Amino acid sequence: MTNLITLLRRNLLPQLNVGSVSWAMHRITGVALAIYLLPHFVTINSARGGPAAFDEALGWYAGPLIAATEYLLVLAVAFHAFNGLRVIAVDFFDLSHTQKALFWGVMAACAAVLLGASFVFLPRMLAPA
Amino acid sequence: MRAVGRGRPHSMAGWLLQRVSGIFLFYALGVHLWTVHYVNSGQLTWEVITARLQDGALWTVYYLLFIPAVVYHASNGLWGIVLDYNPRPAPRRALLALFWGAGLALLIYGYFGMRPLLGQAGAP
Amino acid sequence: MHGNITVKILRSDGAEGAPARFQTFQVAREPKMSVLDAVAKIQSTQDASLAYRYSCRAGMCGTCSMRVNGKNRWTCRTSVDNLKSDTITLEPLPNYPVIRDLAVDMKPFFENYRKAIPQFSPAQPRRADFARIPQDAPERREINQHVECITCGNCFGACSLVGSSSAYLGPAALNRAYVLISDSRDGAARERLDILNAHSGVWGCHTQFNCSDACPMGISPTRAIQKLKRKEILHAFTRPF
Repeated sequence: MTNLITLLRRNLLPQLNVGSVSWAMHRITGVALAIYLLPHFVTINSARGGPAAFDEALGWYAGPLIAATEYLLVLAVAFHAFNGLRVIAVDFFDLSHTQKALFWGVMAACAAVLLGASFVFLPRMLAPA
Repeated sequence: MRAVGRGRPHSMAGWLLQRVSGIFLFYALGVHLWTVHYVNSGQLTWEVITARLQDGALWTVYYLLFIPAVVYHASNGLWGIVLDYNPRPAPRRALLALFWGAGLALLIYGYFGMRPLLGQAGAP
Repeated sequence: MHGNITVKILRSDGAEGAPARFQTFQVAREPKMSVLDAVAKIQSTQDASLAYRYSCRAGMCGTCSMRVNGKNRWTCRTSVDNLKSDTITLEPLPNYPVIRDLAVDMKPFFENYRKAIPQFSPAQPRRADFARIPQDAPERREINQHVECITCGNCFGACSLVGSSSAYLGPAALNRAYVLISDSRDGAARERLDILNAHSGVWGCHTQFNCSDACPMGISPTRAIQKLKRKEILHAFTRPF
């Protein structure tokens, strides 16, 4: 376990600063979303079995645990998307000196998504099963 | 243009396409999450989804761009992680073949999954 | 500020796989003491076998660089008082082979540096007159922001991509290439842009800004690399086939 933590720290966060933290979060959310793509495509493919099969597959996505996962996924998308725009802005415009301020802008945008998404996902997470 | 895609790992073409697909996904994934979790919230059924997707050809155009963009952005992003660890040429080539194979398979799988939902407009 | 400071130094004999361990020393705090002063004092009064390196002691050469409390710094210009801590942890710069204790082998740094053609390659070698660039010209002001590199290697030791890929040329090499590519008197811009158009060159940079945070001269190599990326794209799309 200690070895795993050392390994992750060395590969994801050897330095602790705004640039490294945003990069590590971008990589973690990116890998998570790429993995999510697989079950998502499998679900969509149930459509080849017709309406009944498709509706049954969508039925898997009920329950508070799934709602919580979807909530996290939406936040992961939000961070990856807003930080991606930050990265692109720093790439194509000479904004290296404002990258830290831009990161706080990204976090503010994520906070807004967090708030908006809670109206959708919190009721589903708290609803009786 | 000679320098683009000249075989050296993750040169300009991959870097640029990651950004182009990323900007498109900012819009497309925004639309996707908004419709699925807000507009159609709590009523995700075949009936509701097909009614929306088959209302004009625009959704078909959207998915024909969305699926390749997602698959490319995800696999090129993961490939970038591979390159960060500077693999030797032989495993690098093997992994590149694997990424291309898996990416193309996912692209076809994703397209055929969406086709029944898009109805006649989705058929080539 | 009086009393002692505790200096923890990561010591090793540099042999492959040999365990490194921290050794703790007590040093009397002195006015205007630099971290390098503290290390010199330990070496001269407590343990003559302690290996470290310095040359100028005046912030010009950068050879005294070490990792101080988790940050890469030039130790001759790092004041003990400014660290605001009675304990100072010293480690050799990361991403370099350790020769012994705090002395690292700069070989990977300079090997990669050389790959970016760091020497001036005149476009017109036999020109009769001097090619003058006025001090206030935009070109010169652009170069000013990146030219003061002293090759101390702090950036190379801070870059996480250097840590994961031995092929990556690193911040200093790319920053140097940018300086020369920006210089209208230099004739090797195309050659450099070709070398740097790779994951081991500009495309490997993930804009973490670790190098910029570590540079004692206030240079942002990240910014130079970003400008190189744009030059690469313009170069590729404007060059005839």
